[in-house]
Amino acid sequence: MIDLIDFHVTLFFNVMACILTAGLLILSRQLRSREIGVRLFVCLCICNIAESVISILVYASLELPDSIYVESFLLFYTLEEIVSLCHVFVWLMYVDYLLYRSADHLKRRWVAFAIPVAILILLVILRGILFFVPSISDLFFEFINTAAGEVVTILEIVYMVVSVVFIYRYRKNTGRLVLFRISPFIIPIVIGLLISTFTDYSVRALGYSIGLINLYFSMIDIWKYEDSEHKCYNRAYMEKIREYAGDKKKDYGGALVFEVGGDIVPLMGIIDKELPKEVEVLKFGNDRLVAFLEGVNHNLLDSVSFMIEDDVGEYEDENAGEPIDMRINRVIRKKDESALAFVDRVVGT
Amino acid sequence: MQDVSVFEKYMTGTVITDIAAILLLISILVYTSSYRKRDTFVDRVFFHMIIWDMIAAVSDALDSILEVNAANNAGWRIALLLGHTVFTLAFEICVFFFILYLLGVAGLEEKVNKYWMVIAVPVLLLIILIIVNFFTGMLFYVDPDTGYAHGNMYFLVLMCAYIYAAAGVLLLWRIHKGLVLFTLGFVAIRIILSHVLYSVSASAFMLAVGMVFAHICMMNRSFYKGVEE
Repeated sequence: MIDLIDFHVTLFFNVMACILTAGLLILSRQLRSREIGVRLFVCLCICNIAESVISILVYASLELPDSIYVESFLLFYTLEEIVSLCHVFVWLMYVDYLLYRSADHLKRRWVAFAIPVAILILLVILRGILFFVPSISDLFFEFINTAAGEVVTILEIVYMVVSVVFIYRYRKNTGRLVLFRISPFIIPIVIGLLISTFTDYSVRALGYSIGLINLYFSMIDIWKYEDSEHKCYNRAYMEKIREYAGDKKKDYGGALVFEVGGDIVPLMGIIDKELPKEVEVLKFGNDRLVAFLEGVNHNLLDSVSFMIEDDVGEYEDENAGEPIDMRINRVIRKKDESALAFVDRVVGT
Repeated sequence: MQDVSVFEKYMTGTVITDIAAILLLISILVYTSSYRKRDTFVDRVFFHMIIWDMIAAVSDALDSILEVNAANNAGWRIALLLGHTVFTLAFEICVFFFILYLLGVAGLEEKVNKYWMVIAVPVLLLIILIIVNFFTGMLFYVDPDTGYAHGNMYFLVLMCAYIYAAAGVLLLWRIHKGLVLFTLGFVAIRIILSHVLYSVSASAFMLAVGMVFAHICMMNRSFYKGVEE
């Protein structure tokens, strides 16, 4: 039987984890959005609440009479591991979407994320069933039991590492500075896991809740720069662009300024296709888009804008009756002009 | 005196709770940095709340560690009394700032500037009592046999918090009715849990959670709307 103090303290941590996560879901207006990233985040919160509740049940089942104790414990423990595996699966989907902002990308990747999780879920269920098969050899059961228990924990850690690798690779491949910070999410989880390992209490769910709260705050920090409706950055992002130019993190050589008369969305699709991935497009009001480009000369800027104009022509041919009213201005950085002065000149034009 | 192992278990629980509070407070401190640039009354008060609750969480964690060893050493007992004095002061000041925060959110900043001395009367009286308590032990003291104990006038500590809490609920009702119900539910759960878990101190953590919720509600207001266009 378990120590009642350990149980009560763990119960307290799990109840607090539920309250924190539920409070976030109930109070936040932003989480009512139907955007895929937000939905995945809500799924993460629901997984955490489910894990906390099941964790309470796992502890509580240890206090049940001997006749039903084993079955109840095994049931709740298996459920906890399944939810835990679903949790890491949703987490990977969420990181992928946060980086690539593409439902198509997610559709291509989700099977790769799901396969190891599905195999482990089957393994965990198999362990639960095999426990009640008397003819099974102890050695085989021990193997399945270890594989299910240990691998679930290892996979959770591996998937966390995988998400960090994702972010690193994304930065390397696209050259974009990622606004999304993963450390505020991971640090409380790691502290929670360490405390759970070295004390008699389970603080895992509370660590996750604090991580989710941090992740939410981080998301809000990203949203302040993004215009999700038009898939570009808003005017507030200029403070970042100026920061990059001032710190020489980015050496802008030229810029394209789009004066738009009508709907920005179709034009954004074309710009996104033709410009290199690392280029951030900023929206100023409803009639102006600005893209700063690194290491470009006059010819390169010309060819990029011609390609965009060609694509606009093709779009108009294919979608008769939906003309894109726009004009492109090319701005090149002067010889002795600093990147910061150039950025300010472009925005001032 | 209680079994030392039981004390140690609750101490561990309290320290973990305070670590969780500190993590939450650091997050709010980091993520409200851009809000503080606005330098409004509400942002300044919120910053004070975070700092005082951090002091409360750290002193609470130190208290629980000191309490395990207080029976054996007179020096530790004085340190425990000092630690608990800091904790009580920090907690009550944080609750006071919470009222100022709610008044600010309710748009009553001018009235706060005018009447802040009146609003501060309960907490100022309590601060004097807490300092005097260090010599008299009327609010709380450390007994060599039983450890930390409440004095005859301990109810004054609670009364001050309850006065501000009641004022807070009334103000909150005006600002966000849903949040009042949520907060009351949250406090009710804590009270229920405290019956089975009386020795895990979670006051600083509860305040931190309250601040997280307040910040979530604050972010609902679309801070950057004016910047976008």
